[in-house]
Amino acid sequence: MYVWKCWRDTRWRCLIYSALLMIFLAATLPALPPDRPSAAAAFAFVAIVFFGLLIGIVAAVSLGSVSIGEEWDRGSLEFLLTRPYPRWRFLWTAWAVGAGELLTLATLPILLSTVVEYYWFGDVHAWRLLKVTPLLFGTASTVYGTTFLFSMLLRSGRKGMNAAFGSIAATVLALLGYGGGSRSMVLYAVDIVSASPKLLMWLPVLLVFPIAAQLLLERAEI
Amino acid sequence: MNGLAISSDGLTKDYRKVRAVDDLSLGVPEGSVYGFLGRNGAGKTTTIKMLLGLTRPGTGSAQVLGLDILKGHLAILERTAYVSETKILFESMTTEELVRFNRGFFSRWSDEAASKYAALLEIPPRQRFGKLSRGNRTKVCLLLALAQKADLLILDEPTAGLDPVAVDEVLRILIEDHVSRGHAVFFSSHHLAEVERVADWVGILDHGRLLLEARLEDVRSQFRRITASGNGLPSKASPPVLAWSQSEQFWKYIVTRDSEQFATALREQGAAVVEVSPLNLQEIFLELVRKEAPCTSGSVGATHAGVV
Repeated sequence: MYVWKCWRDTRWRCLIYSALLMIFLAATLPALPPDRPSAAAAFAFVAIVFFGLLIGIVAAVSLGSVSIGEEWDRGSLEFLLTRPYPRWRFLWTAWAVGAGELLTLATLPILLSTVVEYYWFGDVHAWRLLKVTPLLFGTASTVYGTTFLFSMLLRSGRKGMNAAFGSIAATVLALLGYGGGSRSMVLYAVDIVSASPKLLMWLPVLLVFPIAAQLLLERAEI
Repeated sequence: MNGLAISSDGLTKDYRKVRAVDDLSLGVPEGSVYGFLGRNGAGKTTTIKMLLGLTRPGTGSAQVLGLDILKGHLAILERTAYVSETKILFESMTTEELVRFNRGFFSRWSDEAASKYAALLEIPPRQRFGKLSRGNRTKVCLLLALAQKADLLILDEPTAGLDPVAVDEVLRILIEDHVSRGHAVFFSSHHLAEVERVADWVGILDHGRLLLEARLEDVRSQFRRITASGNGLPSKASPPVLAWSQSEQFWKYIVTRDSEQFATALREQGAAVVEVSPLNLQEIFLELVRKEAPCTSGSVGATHAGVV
């Protein structure tokens, strides 16, 4: 039942962010040169990475602050934790629903690209774009997990969201300072994509944040 | 389970430098209605939270339905229904959705009971919880607790926000549908008249300490206020004296038993016993908690539920 409740709480956010991503990506279609497939593919690739990361990160913070964090804000955590259900199951259920929504969000650009490539160029090279999914999902999941953890630490979804956005801003500023500008950041992201299969090996790292959140929830006094 | 639905031994809880619950040893007999009384901040809610595993005790131990609160808290939650002081549920859900959400957690959940109480308490089924009045929110919380068919009801201020008709209905349901099946109710309240109406046992808590735990019947039949005047009268609270106070030339004693013998002893000391009068729960409560410092240590002079 808690799965249903988590989905119910987050479905509108998921739909809105999915729609936004599709709208942004669709808006780039007129800019694709129809007579130069390789240039169009490169442009589409950068657009997917850029908008996918942008929307993915915002969605991750939003979803990460909703689940258990919002239960703290609303005061409904007490009700929840007096159901005969282990705390870790509440936490991982909430995490899994959000992670599933982020995975859907990370897969959407591929679906869109496949359709566009097929109808536009009569050929499908979506397998190349599949490399984007781990990048988008990996980044979004890391941000999601971090927000999850912040919400648990600060006992508030709102505070968790603010802390997550703060830490993202700090990371971006640090990367800009380190890489020498926004162009370097995009190139850096593209570089990561080329190594995306290796990112799968980093998936356990993504689990560190919800595990830490679980330990906090297990010990939390309401 | 030694006949107790809830028992605690030396339960203590500190929040930083504040001692919220202090060496609490109480016993709630099975099948009883236990009124847990105290002023705001007395430690009632903290005690309840410890019993339900929401907060860990600093020291001491407790059992609920024979299960240790630290080791068996999920089993306790399966068999215990709880209505919190805050009565906060999910604002966007309707009563119907809350029922559907809640029933999945409890093996003994009764849809029939849920429908029955929803009708009895006149709860709007399709209105969102966030749009309900305070009284209706309380009713929804009670409905969810009652439909669990739990062995023990723990209710923190269960009638707060209810109109007198609803209070009457809720108390009737508690007695007729829950206690009559041999299940216990442990509830905290500020409404002493309600407690006096339905409780078998009372516990009075102040500054985290249990000042009194007694069977209400004993309170009615044996507790007396003795007013006397004289010199050199006893000025300490030891059994059977639960509390004492002095104003001008009069000494007032609250005794838990043997009031005639105590009055005779005072007369033998040269005192003039002005009055020996029965007390109601409110008078005892006020007498005990009005004092700046608790005048007794633990449940002095009272009968402990555990030895019944």
